[in-house]
Amino acid sequence: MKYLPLVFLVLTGCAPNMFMSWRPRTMQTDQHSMSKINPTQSVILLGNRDYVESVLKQVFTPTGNETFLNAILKQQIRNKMGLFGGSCTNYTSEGLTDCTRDDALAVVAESDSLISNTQPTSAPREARRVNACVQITSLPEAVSAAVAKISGANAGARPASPQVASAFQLFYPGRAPDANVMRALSALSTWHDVLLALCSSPGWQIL
Amino acid sequence: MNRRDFLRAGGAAVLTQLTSCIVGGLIRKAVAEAMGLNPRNYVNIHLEGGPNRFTFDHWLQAKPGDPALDYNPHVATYLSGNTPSYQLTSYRGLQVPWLWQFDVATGNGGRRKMSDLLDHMAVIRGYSTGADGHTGNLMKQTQPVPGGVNLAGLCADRGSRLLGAIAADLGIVGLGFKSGKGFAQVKVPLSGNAVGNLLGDFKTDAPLPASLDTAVRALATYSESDYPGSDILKKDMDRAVDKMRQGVAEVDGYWSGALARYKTAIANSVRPQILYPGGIPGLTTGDLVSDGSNSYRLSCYASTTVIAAGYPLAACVQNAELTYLAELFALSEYVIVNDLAGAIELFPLLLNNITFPGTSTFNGPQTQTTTLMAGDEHLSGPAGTIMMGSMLYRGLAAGLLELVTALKAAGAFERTVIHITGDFGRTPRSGQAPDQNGADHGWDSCVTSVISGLIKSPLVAGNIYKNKYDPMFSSYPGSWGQAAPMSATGLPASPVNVGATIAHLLGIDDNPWNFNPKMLQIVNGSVQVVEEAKVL
Repeated sequence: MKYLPLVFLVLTGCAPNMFMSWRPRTMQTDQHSMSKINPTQSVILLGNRDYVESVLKQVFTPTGNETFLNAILKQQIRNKMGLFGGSCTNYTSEGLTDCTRDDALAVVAESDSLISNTQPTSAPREARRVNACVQITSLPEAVSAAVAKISGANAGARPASPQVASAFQLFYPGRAPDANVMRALSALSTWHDVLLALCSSPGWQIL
Repeated sequence: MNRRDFLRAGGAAVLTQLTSCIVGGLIRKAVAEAMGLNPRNYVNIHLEGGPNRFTFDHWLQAKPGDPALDYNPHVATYLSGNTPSYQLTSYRGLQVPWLWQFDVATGNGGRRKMSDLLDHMAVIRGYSTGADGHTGNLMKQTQPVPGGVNLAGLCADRGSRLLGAIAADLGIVGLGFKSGKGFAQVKVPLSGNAVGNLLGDFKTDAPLPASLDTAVRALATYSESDYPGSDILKKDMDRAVDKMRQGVAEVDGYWSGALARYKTAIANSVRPQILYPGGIPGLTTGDLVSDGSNSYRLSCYASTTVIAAGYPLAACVQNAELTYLAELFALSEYVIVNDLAGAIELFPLLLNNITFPGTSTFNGPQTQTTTLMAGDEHLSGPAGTIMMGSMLYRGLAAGLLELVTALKAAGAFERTVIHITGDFGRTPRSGQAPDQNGADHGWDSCVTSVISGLIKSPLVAGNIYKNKYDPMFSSYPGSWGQAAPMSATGLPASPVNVGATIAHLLGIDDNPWNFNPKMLQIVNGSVQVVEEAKVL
């Protein structure tokens, strides 16, 4: 009880400097209002629309139905080259349907050909990606297609830990989930939730 | 003093200091919470090409005691017959160009004084970028150290709004955008409903499933910890999901209403006959007709054309417009009022649909030509520049006033800083017949304006020469605002001084340029000049 005044002073930021390191993290001022220069962080490189589309197709496309996800992917990813990056060329495989076309010259419009091949993170980009994940995982066929790629898994059964680790590899190939991630994913009771969690997690876009 | 008195006095002092600290801390916390830990909203309106601003905000004789100009016709603000001259009007202790005394239109079909804008406007003049070139100078206006962050990027880095920075998807807007943390500048298509385009990415067909929250939390630690900078990615995803959960309001009603409001204000201002059927004195009255000389030459896209002799100036702009400007302002109003983005960069087209008979440099005599003003007015004569520039700035001011009114009504004006830039000022040629009409790149005479609720009276900062002898500019006689030294440094101001100033107004004092003297500062909640502006 006798330390209460000191605690009060620490929490109000009026304690002598030697106590300031005691401030719990949650009390620290947001970095945006700090009156000192913060070190600039490295800028991550994200996969472009081709990459994001490709990962989602690989995970969720049912065997023998290659175009199953095309409508969702086109709406949320493919047509959003400004958000995801990935310029159009005259050799684009989809016959330029995802590009603005300069009809007079019969080529891709300059506006689309000049778009950067990669784009940084942004809230609209993440909204489109999460929307794609929500829409895809709402399709039982897509969830079944993903589960079918996990050895021993059954779409109707509760995911078991080894299977969850395998599911993680679908989005993060070559990387092992740490204990925290495993604990969080294992708490999810359906494959829908596990796959939505993995799909919505932003880290798999990082190159 | 005995020991008891000493302790009493010391205790009182300590108690006073502690009380002050605690109360001050609580106030600071309250202010920070009120501002949402965000910098002020930043709006950059860039006038591409660097059009002549002497009729608007490039003030050469702003104080009553300033020396008379060594007159060059390309800085003229007023026409009488075929004679251009430098005419000013007084407003709240300053002398501002002739144009400011007239009315502009409001969005509801009314009119108001253009000078209302001056009440919240500060001009920063007399700075030098140090080198020529459109692209480099364009970028330096908001990216003071080339290759470093720019003002919009800084706002994105320091803010926590849904979108760090946006830009209208028009022309080369965003050329100088740079965030230090990797935030993107989101380009908003202007076609259709621009606000709808902006928010469309956050629309969902159905409510997001509750399991998504669990899912998002589950992998939060992973995405935050694995790669440098991935916390920015995570932050964007959190903002996206929050916005998707909130839902996207229907904005069709807002858009149609706001767009109509801005279109009315702008169109009724750039077409002078609507508010002034008899013409605007000194600018568009019936006696002002072209004499067919190069003084009436206009720098336009794809051509340079002299207005045919006998053709009235007022007729040239009777159907003029500022294409996309209404859309840009309507978008800005929504974004600021709803606190959606930290920074907005806008590059409007300049005066469009200018129509007149004349003689084109490339195409010869034209019975009628309809054209778009080019900002890079190398070949515009004084008379043409006064007419074209004045109508451009009437439209810009009308749109700005409409925006200011909306921001005031929403209580957002004091947390907004509007920054009007151009590539550079202009260095006027001699104006001598037959071909010395026009003005070149004024990288040594830059000017920019700031409009904000923090500004309570018209201000001018920055020192200029009346007429410096400078061999580098020997082709450009007279007074045109060449940058003169600041007292603080003994050197002319440069973009780093402007950058430090704007960042300070935005509430970002820990900016990369903060060791450079500012030109404006906030004192007791309102903006003041740091050094009295002088003409040397």
